[in-house]
Amino acid sequence: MRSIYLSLFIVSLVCGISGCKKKKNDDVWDDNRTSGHYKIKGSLWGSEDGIAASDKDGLLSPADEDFIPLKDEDLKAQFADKATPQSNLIPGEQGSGIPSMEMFRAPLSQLASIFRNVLFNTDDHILRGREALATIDSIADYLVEHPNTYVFIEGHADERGPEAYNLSLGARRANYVRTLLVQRGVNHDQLHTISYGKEKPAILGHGADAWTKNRRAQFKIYQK
Amino acid sequence: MYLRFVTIFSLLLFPLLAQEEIRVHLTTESLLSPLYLGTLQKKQSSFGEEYLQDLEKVLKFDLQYNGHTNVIAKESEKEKLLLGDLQPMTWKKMGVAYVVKGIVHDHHLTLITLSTQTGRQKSFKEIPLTGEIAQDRRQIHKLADAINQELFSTSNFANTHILYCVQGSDKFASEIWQCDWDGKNARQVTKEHSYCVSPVFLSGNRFIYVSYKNGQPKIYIASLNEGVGKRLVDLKGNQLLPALTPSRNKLAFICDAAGRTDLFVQPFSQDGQEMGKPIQLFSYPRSTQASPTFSPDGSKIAFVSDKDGPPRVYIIPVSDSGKRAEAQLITKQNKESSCPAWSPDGTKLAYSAKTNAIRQIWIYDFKTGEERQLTSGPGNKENPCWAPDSLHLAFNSTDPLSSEIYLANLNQPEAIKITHGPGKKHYPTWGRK
Repeated sequence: MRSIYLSLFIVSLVCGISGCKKKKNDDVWDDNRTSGHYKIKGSLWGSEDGIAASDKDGLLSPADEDFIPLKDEDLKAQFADKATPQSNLIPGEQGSGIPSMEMFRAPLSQLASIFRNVLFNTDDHILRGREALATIDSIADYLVEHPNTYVFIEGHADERGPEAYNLSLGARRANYVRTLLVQRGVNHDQLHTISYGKEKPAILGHGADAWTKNRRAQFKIYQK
Repeated sequence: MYLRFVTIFSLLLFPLLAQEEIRVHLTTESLLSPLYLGTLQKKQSSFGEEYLQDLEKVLKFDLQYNGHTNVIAKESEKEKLLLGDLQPMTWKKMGVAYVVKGIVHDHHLTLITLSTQTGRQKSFKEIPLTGEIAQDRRQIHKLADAINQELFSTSNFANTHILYCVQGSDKFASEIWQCDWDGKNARQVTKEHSYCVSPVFLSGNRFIYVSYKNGQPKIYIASLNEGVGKRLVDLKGNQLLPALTPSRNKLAFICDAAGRTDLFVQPFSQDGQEMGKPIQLFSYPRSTQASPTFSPDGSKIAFVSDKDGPPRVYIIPVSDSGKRAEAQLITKQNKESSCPAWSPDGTKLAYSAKTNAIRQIWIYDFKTGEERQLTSGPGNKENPCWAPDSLHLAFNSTDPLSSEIYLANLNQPEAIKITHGPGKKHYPTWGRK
């Protein structure tokens, strides 16, 4: 009799374990499918042998997206173009654990030397030059070490472009910087972007010096 | 010797002069017919002269800038003719194409028009007057629309209003304002103490706009009466530059939800409910998209992209196929073009293009495929929007000291400033009342 109970216990234990395992796999599949749109080989979004990463349809599955994405080949390689999805945490929204944007401040003292503005060329959203990339490296290092620090990356333009287009350009610049940081290991939930177009110049003026300093990404931070 | 020196010197100087003298052809021939607007005649009315003059000024503006007529100067001889019956031949001999005669009787205004070409006379239904110019000017705009409909079969444009944004100079704040088409009756609509931009009329007294009131820019919907917005599209990231189809079944906007600044479309039901998820309509590696505008039937979108170099205007069909449509380049004449606006009749696209270092308003004609420069002169002109008649345009013109809203029309490219007072005015949009 004891042996029958023991056998039943072992069978139920095996079933239970396999059931748990199956459930876990499903969760992984769902999670991968959710983020699959952005996953490619070697990305920071998961291991390169992830299920979604090897499934081209799954890469762009709209099933769990906030929107219905395009399925073009050149957009599947999102990381090749340095694009990453937005944070799942909305600042100021209940349950996000992050306050609204007015609680984010310009970095002071020592942090100001890390979170320095990075500058862009005219009508360009790509950072060029060692100095800008060294700044990004420093910021990434700090954020990886301080996972409770949250950042708003502001995208700005100089005064010369059309104001409506500059709003888009500012968003593009901020997202480019955000992706560089994610590529360097920063959790994307720590990063948020905002575009101000040309409406918040760092330097008031109408010359080349002001334009150079105003084409920038600037950082506001919040520390829990 | 002297002659040879002058010749050689001129030849050397020619390329420099030629560089300075790059000119773009503008339509200069007058397309306007002379119209005589008589002094309003007062019969058994207690209204003062000043009030009547104000009424006349409102009507004169509407007729002067209707895109069809030029109000000619007053003459005592013509004023005497107005006291009797209108004789078409007499006026025609004087070179007048149209005559408008107004009579204020008691508390009512009656207008009579004469076309000297056809001899047709029309007496319009009298309108009540209150004596308050702010209130009565709207009645005059209605009459002006009726006159334009009678004489030129045009859609209403005078009894319309314009929404625009006013940005304070001291801080990052911009509120939405409303005014009549001539810039009068200006009033602040939103009081969000935030940065509100790019409004678009929805229907009735509702409008859509972008506000930074909760941090990131998002699209909101509000009524002109309350001016407090509610979130419209539930999507992460920055939402910018919304545009609506005339039938209000699709909203296009720019959003970085996928990590780029892409063009999205959100379908809506007849009663304004979101239908399904937003659709990523156009994205392109290493490019920025901006400023969508729908064709009147909602089947196509014109927008700005820098996918092939500097920003220019492209057109794509609206589709939910999941495949990026091939974008057709429209603005080939200019190297940097932005903020397109599709005319309500579907035949034209207005946009802003850098022209000899200054942004001017250009018109692309879908029938001929030709582009022509509409405006000229100093000030960067951006954000054109069409009146319902597809003839008039409003836009903002900006210089280092100010930014104001201006009017122009295809027959009268000389822009007229309609806004005044402090603040930077920009992002106009035109709606019906």
